Amino acid sequence: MKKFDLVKLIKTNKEFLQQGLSIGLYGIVLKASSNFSEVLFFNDKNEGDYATALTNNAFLEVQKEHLPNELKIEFEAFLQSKHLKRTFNKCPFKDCDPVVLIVEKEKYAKQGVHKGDTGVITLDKCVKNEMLVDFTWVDEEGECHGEIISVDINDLELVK
Amino acid sequence: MLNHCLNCTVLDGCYFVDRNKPALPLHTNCDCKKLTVNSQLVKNVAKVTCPISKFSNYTFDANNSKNNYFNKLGYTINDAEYLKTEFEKQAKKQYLMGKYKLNKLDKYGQRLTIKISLNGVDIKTGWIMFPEGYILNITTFSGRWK
Repeated sequence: MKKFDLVKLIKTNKEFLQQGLSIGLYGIVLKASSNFSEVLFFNDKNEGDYATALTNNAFLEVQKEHLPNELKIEFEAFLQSKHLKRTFNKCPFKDCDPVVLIVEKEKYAKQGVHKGDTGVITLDKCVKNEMLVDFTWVDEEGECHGEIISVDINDLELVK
Repeated sequence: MLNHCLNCTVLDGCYFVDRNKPALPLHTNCDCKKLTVNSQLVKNVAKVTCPISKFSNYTFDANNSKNNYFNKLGYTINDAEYLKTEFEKQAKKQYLMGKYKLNKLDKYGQRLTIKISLNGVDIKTGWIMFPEGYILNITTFSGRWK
């Protein structure tokens, strides 16, 4: 195990699961030692999000792919500029959840969606804290109106 | 990768029919490249999924206007399993033949519109493409196919 190795989490424990770290996650080794490594894991439920964890090397499987040198340089700069966090951001919604837009914002209004409009989460994937929401509806003539747009999860509430 | 735009990143490893693919370059300084993949490989690995929840939890929800439309086509929630299977079968066939419309490309992926025929009526359905021939339904009805 060495710095910048690409790794896959193949075992987990209660503490890791509480951090949202489950089997199958990929990550990059930030610091390596003989028994434990500091690993930055990528959140597979919220792209762009990550969590770091001191990980038993027995929990990790080194991947055959290598981080290209130019990316190592980019990554080093990223590490210097960030206060690295320990837990994943949670994604509060899942596919087909009914939601309501709770704010009025220009970026949504431009796409015809306003505060109070209801929609449905249409993809079980969060990207940079946003999810895809289906605000389409069908009139009596069978014509479909509305848009499927990306919405910040903090601008949505679950409809109960 | 850290500085690559998400639109380019989500296309990495996606399979398109050559005559129906996003036009490159996608933007200034885009370094995306087209690689040729054997069509037989794509046929072997292509996976098309329409979660049954798209019908049972969404389309046939009593508050959803699409419920009425599907009822008029002759379907109810009892047909959810049939519709799931039919959507997957028809969408896979259309995808492999390159019969899809490229829709919006954003950080989530390349959206596709695919025609599905139900009881003699052609409708538009929304899908999203992931790497290695994986296509996932995002909406069961986005209008009549004209």
